[in-house]
Amino acid sequence: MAAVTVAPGGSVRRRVSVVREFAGISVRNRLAVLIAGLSVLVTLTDAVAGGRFPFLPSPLAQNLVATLAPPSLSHPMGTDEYGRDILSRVLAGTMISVEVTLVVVILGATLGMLIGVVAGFFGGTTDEVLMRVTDMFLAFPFLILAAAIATAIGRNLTATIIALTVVEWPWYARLARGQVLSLREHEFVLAARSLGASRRRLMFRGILPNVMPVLITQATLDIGYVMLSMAGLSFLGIGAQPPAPEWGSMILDALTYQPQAWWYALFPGLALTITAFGFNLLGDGLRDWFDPTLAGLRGDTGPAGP
Amino acid sequence: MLRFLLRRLAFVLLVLFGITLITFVLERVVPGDPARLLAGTRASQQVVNQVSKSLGLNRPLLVQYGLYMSDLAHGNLGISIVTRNPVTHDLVQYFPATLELIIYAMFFGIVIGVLIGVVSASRGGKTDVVGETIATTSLSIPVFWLAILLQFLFYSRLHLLPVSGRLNPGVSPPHTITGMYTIDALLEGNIPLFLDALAHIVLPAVSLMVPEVGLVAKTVRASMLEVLGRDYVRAAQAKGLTRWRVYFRHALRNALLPAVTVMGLEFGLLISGTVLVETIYSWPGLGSYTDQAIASSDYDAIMGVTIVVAVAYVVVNMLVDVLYAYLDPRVRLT
Amino acid sequence: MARVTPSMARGTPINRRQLLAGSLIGAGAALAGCSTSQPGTTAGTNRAAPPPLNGRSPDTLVVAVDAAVEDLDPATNLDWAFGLAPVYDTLVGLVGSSAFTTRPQLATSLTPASKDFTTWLCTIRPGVRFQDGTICDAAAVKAAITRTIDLPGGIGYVWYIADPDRQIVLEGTDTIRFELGTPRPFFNQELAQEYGFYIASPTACAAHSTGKNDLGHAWLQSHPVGTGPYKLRSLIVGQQATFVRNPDYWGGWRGRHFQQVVALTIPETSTRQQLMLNGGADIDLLTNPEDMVQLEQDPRFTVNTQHTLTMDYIALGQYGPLADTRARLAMNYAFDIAGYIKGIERNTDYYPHGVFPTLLITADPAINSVPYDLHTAKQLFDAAGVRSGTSLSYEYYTGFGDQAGAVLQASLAQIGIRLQLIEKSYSGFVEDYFSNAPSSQRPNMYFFSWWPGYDNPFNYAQPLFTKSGWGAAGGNAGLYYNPEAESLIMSMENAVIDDELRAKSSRVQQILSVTDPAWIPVAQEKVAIAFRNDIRGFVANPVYEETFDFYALSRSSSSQLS
Repeated sequence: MAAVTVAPGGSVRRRVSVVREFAGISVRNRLAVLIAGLSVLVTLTDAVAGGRFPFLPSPLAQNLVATLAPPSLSHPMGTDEYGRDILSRVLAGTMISVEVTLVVVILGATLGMLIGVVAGFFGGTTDEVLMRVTDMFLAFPFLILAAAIATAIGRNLTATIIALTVVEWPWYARLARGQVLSLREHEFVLAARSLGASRRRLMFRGILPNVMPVLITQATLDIGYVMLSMAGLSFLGIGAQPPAPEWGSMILDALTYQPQAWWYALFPGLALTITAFGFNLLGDGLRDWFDPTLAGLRGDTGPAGP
Repeated sequence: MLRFLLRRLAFVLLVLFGITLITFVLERVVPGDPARLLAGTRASQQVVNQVSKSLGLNRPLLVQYGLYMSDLAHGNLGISIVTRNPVTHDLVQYFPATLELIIYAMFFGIVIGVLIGVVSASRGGKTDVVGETIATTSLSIPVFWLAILLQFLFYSRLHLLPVSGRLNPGVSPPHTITGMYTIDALLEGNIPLFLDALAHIVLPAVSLMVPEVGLVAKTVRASMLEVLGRDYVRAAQAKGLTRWRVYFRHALRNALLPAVTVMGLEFGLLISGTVLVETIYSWPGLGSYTDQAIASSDYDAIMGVTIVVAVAYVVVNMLVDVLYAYLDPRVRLT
Repeated sequence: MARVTPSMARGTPINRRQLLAGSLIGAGAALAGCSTSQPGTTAGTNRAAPPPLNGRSPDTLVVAVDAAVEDLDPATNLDWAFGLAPVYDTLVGLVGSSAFTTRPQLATSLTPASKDFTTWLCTIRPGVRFQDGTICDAAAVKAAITRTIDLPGGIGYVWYIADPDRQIVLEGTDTIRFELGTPRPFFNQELAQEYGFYIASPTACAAHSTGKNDLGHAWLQSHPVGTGPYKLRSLIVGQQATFVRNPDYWGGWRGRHFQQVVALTIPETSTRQQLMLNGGADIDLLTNPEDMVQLEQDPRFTVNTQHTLTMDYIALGQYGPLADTRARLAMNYAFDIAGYIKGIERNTDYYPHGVFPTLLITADPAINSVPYDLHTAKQLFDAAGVRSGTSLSYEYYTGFGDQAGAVLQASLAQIGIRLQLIEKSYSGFVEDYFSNAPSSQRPNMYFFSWWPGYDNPFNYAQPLFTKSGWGAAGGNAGLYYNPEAESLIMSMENAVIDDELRAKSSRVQQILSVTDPAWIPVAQEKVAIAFRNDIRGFVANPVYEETFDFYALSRSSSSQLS
């Protein structure tokens, strides 16, 4: 689902943001920084999850003598009802959230892109049929559809991933199709066709590379949203099963101990907010960066469609 | 216009048909044991067998689908395992509470969102940064966490607002006219009751509307920026119109159009939000009904809510389309 | 919050002296186990006036509960008799806090008619009417009991009357003779139970019956018709149940009684707590330890804690990897009972002393399960051939046993054993627990709770630890069998409570808890209920757990607060 898809105005640039600084570095280096950052994050949280990180106890290690302990030097974020260190669990939970979210977004975007491109490219009945199917899936509010799917399949992470992907792909299909439709009339396409380029070639060489940027931007903007949705599903009891340290299910468990153990719900929620915020910023920055190339090739937001 | 409406209607009907197909697949085809899921986790094996027979699970899929559609046509959405009432009865009972919440959340969400978006776009500079940060933060906060935080802050610590429910315990609700306590209390002229109901709706409505504020703010800001850069605005400015007039007469109206299209999205966000927020506040609406249904695997209830909400969603979106078409004549040409 | 009534013991006749001795001791034990503070009955020091009612009617009693009041059909409700108690009567009831002494209710007398206790004579109170206006005479009572027994899928089996038509004999309009066929010296106490023994209007059931598989059940669940002091006025399942006075109640309305009782279902503990603190509720069934501590320290409230005969336990299956005694002993070493009770339950339950509840008349409080020692556990597992990487399954039902499972899972993980937690719905779990499935299809352990029908070691141990209690016949889901324990337990049937019995009981307790463990005993249940200081008349009864006699309660006016 799209959080925001409208591209900002062309000539009016009023953003003053850190992302602009980032935009000053060359593309190659930016990518390198991003990959390096992600790798560090992954290694760190993996170590925490496995209990190999120094100073931090394993997120699964129970300590029945220190249950529901408030934040202190030994437990900066306090402990949960089993005496497990919440800081470790919050850090380890990053792994789960980011992993699942990325899988869902990548799967959903890819699936949606394929369907959308095919629909836009071939037009006619194919287009009609595929778009109707897309609209049908778009008609369900995500949480309820995801919950229905997860209940039908089973309560575990795999079911959540499937459920969220099913909810996500229609947006990308719409987006991709809109892109393809406007691209189709573009000169370079017409020129290529008159030169006898095969349809397949056209699709892969011409259209896809122009569709990708929009989708990537959208996907990055979506990460925050999908992460929150996933946490929402865990909060409803669907998704990561105990003793997995997933942020949403931690907040659910914390509910029983409110308001006395206020730290229990506070920190996982904070982690969620900060992470989602970070990805949203990233997405905004990407969208601004892609801006010049996108002027005039806006993605579709209206329900009427182009 | 008529042709447009007819086309939209045909499209909507098709989508509705598709919805029933999807829900049918989810109800009968996907689950490992659809009879068990429908009979509920509390049912004995006898009951499960009965359900299995009535669903015709051993008969061809087409026949099953026919049975399913005929049930829907008769308004039979099954029986809830938790409340033991027909699901349609439950939906009607719990709907007004959620509607009240959504109306408050939507209204204030739009107002505040538009405000932030307009101010952000027109002022620019630091104000814009602040505005955008607020919008992004709104979109990053999980509603269920916010609900818990607000409850903790305003109830446990500050004792300013009540913790849960629609009214103080023991207080009788107003006579049912709309089913929405604040409105009904006002209609009755009962001010203390109105204030009580209002006090109870504040926290849940605020929790719900936060992501919406962000969404609206961003959309409005973006389209405002675009519109402000357009020629006709410059023309208006050149004509010597005051800034105020420029903004609100020309820019805003056009900028708000995309905000209208986003309303359908908002509705979806709000519906999903109610499932997460209502339980925390013991708000007896569709949201907590759905949450309870999910927790007890009350499948009839879950599917009932899914279908009804999907249909409502489609209808709302169609109305939004019509509104959009009315406001923007260019759309009708497609 | 579900309970299952265990099967009762049958046995050889006991003489009157034994019966009397048993009843006195039973009452004594029950009283000894009762809490020290009872609201309204003791002039408390440091007791303050409760919060103002804020316009709420003082004639209405508001009870805040965590579970839904539902299934008001006494023939099927096995979960929670809370909603049944105000509306229905049993033939006899337990007196005050006694688990043994009975008093007349619908029956004015219930006495054995034969020396071997196979026949009992019951006189029905004349002139009683059901809440639908129909007469409650012997014929109606017989019809009601028959319906309970006949309802498919119901709990009528607790009557142990196979042929109600032949065995329940009408002798005149107000007298019933029960031909039980086997000696049942404790029939009195049996009929005082809350699960299966309430009398519902047979006319109402028949009028709303949709067939012989229903017998009015679907309707009666939300439209109860009994002879009790209160009628159900409205029921919103999962939210609120409202009871109002039955003006024609046979007990009359002299004295102080509540006009109306409202039960609010509020799963969130913080909401319930707040309701109590600001005067919105009069009684709260406490489930949260922090809330309990807060109210105990608040002089405007009284917290009544009740020690019960209920044991929470993990039944260990005597098959598969746990067939070896050493493996089951290792399991006991692997569970930190003290840590669980203190850290997780925060002392809202009592520490268990072996597998017998301490209130059990012959229980030996000196016998304890082995302490928590993972090192010894590992050694024992190795000796028993349970290698690292073995997977064991633990079954429980939603909301009950999940935390004990999590704790056990974490401990076992430290010594290389993988515990798989299997969550089932309540009905699904009960089906499994009482099934006759072969051991290959059973999980390695079950988390459950149990209490005896009455205070007697044979009655407690037979269904849980003997071969005659395997599968559907009793509560021995782990298919436990130890030859010495078996012969000792069976010899305790209907035995006099003397030193010889106590010695046998101790020996059995020792075997079951330490020598050849059948369980990991987890806790002895404590029930805590909070009252505003102006609520009078509550007497805790260990058998009537978490249900109330609303008729006995009243609110003192502020001037009467002592």
